Amino acid sequence: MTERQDLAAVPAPWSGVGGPVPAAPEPSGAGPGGGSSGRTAERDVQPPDEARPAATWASPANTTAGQAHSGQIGPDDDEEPYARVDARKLEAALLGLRKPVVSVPLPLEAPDIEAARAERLKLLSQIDDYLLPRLRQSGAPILVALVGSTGAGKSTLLNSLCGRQVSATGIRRPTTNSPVLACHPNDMRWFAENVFLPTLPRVRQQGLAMPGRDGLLVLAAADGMPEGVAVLDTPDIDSVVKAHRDFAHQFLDASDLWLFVTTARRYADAAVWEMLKDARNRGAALAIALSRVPSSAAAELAAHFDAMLDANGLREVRRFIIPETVVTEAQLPGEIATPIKEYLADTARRDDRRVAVLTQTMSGVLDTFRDRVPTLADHAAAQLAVSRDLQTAAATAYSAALVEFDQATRNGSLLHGEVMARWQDFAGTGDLLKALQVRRARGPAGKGRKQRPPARAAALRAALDESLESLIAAMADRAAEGAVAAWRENPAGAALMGAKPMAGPAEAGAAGETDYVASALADLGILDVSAAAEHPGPAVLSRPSADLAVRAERAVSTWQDHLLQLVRAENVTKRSIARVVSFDESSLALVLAVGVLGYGASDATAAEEASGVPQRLLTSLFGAGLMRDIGVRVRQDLHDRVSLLFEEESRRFADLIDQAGRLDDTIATELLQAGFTLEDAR
Amino acid sequence: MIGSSTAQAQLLADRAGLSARLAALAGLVQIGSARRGTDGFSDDLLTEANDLLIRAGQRLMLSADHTVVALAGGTGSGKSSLFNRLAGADFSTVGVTRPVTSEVHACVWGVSGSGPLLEWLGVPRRYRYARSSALDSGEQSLSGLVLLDMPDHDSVMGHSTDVVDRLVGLSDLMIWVLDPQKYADGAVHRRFLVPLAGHSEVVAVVLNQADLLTAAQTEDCVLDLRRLLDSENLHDVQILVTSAATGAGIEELRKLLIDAVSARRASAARISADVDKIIVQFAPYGELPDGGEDVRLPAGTAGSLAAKFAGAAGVEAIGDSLRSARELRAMDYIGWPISWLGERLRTRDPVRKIRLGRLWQELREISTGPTGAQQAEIDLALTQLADEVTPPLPLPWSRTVRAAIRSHADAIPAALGTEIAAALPAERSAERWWRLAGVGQGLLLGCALVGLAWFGTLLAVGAFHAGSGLPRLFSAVVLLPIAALLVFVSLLAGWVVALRSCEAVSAAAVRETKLLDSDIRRRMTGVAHDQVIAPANLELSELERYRDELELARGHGRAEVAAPSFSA
Repeated sequence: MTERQDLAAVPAPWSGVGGPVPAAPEPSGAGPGGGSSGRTAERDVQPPDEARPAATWASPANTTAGQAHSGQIGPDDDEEPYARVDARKLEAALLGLRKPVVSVPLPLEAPDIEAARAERLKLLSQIDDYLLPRLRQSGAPILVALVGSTGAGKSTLLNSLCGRQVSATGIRRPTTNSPVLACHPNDMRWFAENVFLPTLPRVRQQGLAMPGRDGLLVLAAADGMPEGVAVLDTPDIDSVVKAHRDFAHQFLDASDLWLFVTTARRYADAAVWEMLKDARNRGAALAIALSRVPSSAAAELAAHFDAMLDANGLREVRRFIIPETVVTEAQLPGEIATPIKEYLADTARRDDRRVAVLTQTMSGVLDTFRDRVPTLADHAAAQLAVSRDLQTAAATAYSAALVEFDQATRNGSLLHGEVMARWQDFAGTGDLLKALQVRRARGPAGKGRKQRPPARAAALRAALDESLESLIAAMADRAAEGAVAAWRENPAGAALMGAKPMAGPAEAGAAGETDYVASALADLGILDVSAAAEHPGPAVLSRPSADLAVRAERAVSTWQDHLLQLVRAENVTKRSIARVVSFDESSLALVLAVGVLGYGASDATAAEEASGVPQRLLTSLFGAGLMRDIGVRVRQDLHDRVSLLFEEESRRFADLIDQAGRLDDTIATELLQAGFTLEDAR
Repeated sequence: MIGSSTAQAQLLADRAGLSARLAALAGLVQIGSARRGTDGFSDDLLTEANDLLIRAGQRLMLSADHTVVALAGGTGSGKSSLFNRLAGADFSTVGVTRPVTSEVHACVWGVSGSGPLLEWLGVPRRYRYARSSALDSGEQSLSGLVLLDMPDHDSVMGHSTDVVDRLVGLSDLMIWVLDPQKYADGAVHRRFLVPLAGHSEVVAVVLNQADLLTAAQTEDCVLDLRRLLDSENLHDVQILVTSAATGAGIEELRKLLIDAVSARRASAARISADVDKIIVQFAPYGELPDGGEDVRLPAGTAGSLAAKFAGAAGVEAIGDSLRSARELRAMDYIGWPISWLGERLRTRDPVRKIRLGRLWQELREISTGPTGAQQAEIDLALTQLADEVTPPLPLPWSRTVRAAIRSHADAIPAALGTEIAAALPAERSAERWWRLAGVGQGLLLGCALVGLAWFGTLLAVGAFHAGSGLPRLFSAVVLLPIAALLVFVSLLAGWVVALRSCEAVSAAAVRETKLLDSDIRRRMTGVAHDQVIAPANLELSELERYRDELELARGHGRAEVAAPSFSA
């Protein structure tokens, strides 16, 4: 291994703002002992023994862990200093927040919804991977994430810290495919269980620097590592492999301290500053190393980078410089990594530093919740609004169709085409008159010749039925198309109908999200409704449902029956006429139907002429007042039947929304409430 | 010199082919612009295509003798060092702190005519350098090169990213300068190299700073870089290994530039690759399933649609009604008076009885008239047609063809009504032969009456001797059977005539109805064609044109057919 040799390794000439690293680490035990008394006084709310010791701040671990630990730090290590919070209350508040975060339904496509889903996942992973484990196992080593650009030498730095090769280094970029977690063998127990990053499968490292399969967390024990601190070598934040970037961010969310590594060539990269600003915004504890610095330009570069850091509000950050140097066995020369190693050891050993780091990062994360939880709640509320919009759009389309249907049955436009021709045939040939039969003078009413409805009457009725049915079908058609068109305008509607491929399942990350959220929901005992929903496409939806024709036929024929009943039951004819004339009821019902549907026709003269006749005939028979009354009732009956049909049709759209996931109008409030509770618990 | 003249001819042919493709692309944009929207052509694509057209037009108009080569890459990859190496002078500042170059620099070999080009590229005047004066023998071959040193695309200086985006779009040949540390950066691959897939001809990758690696490491690195590029569909991209510091590999790079400049093809190739790329996005809009070529509606469509229109207008019922009306009216003339009288006497008119006399009259007067058509049934028929025709079409077209089919839906019932009214025979009061038959029926009735009177007279005078002195004609009893026969025969004849006439009227009505039916259907086919088929076919012909333009824009059209004939 020979790389360009610049100069002999220069220990960081770049003094950080925090002052030089203490040359001699304080003796173990002295620090904790000194600091503990003051802190205990502040932590008066903490009950000493609880039902669940693992969850308390005071005792770092349960029995076995505690024993293994006690030899290292000292007898009073259960008095370890931690953030001044009531851990139990905070944990409960976090769990209270976690539930609505998991169950908040975000099924509908909306502006920024992808971001909201990612945000929900991030919230979850921060709670699950970082906050809860850190609260429950407060004595665990500080987790340092080694992050930075590809080729910055993160793995090399890790190897140097460990004193042996635990992470692969090389020319190929990106080099690190599997994250490697290195810690002192005594600290190993903290990470072997799925407590930190519970979602990630892990393997213990076998042999030297063997990269595990992609996606596995490799655990490496190294004697060279200081105790109480674990360093995680993450994949790159900016490489071509997207999975690596996702990984990197997951680790960042889970770690207590970020050690950011960038190089002399890269420190002005946009990706670097995106990361650093992220760290700044979330208030994470941060240290920065500038590596591969050519010694000739070290001062110039350091000054420039310093200025950039200061300008970006990172004045307080501890900084290191690693010169460009010879790498042997994938390690930097010992003296170059020493300041960093000492800084880490110091942070782990000195209680005040440890507390500062833990508190800073945790409260930094919790601070971000202040904005992020309400934002998520806003999204939940927006989802509700979107679903209402969609429902309204579908309902509007159908009610418009119903209005049109009413108009068509009122303005006589039904009396066109076949109905008109059949009516002309029926009325003009005298069949209508034959249906009106003289009652035999003084003869018993039942003895009148039983007359079958003439063929022309039957044809008229068939034509009338058919035209009503096709009117219903056409209106349902138009409504469905209108609803589909309205939904298509709405991204959520388009996604629900599958017009565009659902953005979610296509991408691996989003699939991961659904899996993760589904399992989280299952943990909470909530059934995930969004799974396994068959989406009818817009082509299906824009047609009326298949059995509409049958149902329309049934509706129309029951309406006709209703008409007949009305004619039969109401004894509607004027008394003076009933005395002399008896009517064929079905023919009369037919005339009634034609009269009602053609009533008030004013647009076409033909229709007027046609509707005028039955109208006058009916008025003569029934009397004007009764006729109006009957007309209203008959039309209302038809309207009710059709509106029922349309309601069933529009339910297909509502079902689609429900299939995507039941929206809960309380969840937004629940989220906000949980957010407040969390604030309160801090 | 023969070689150069054929090269010249090839160059011209290239340009001509490119112009044809660009024209076809313009056609696609024009067709697409009329059909943009959520379900239509994507606005972004149309804008992109339009930009490409403008860019290509400007580039082709500007100096064709110059080749614009851009040196692009991340911060610190050594673009400026390479630029200075190639230019042979320290034109561009080199430094350790990042980022160094924030403006584009240009160096031109052979100045004439490059001014407008540089203006177009947006190179600031003070960063333009010329190598015209110092053209030595080696540099001669580089004449026509415009070398750009670009600012970093990945630095925190946000505005330089826009400059890079623009120049990457404008340059003819792009040389991406990568270095061992950053060659796999997401920033360069995701943002620039992946979108350049298919541009292998006009993209080259330089792995700079090779002096930092050993030979074996370099080889490893190049292999990995090749793998990466392959995964990004940049298979044939040339990878050069250079070191601006030591000068290694610079000669190869210079040779690459010389090749590009002397061929003078880079600008056309660049635009061609851009067109290729954008055409791929246009293709789905013109894709027909399983190679269906003929998109027009099948010939029988108008007929089957007319049949549905006939249903909506109730043509059959109109025929029935016409027949009934004819028969009813004819009966007034040709009916057998006896049966008519009998009917009249046997049943009394109920309507008259309830004093609805006027209504009775009106009912009698209802007869065949224009009926229009049911809007709902028309709509359903059109929807059904659209459902049959449009599903195989790609998206914007299935929507626009559907819209075209429905474009005149509201006017169709009225149009059908007009056609039916025109087809209906004028309301004739009666046929002439009906009157003749009527007169005949009257005569026969007269005969019967005369015969009856005669019979009565004969009976009274001849048999009962009621009177005398009458001629023998009225008194001879032997004439009685003759008189009876006269009555019988005339009544029988009246009945037969009535029967026959009825049959004739019926037959005539049926004939008339049939004629009417076919006339109306013919007219409806006309309506269907004018109001539905023609608009739909108009839209479909646009689709055909789109497909033709697509073929041309792909370069598969005439150009490819013409090429073999040249070589032959």
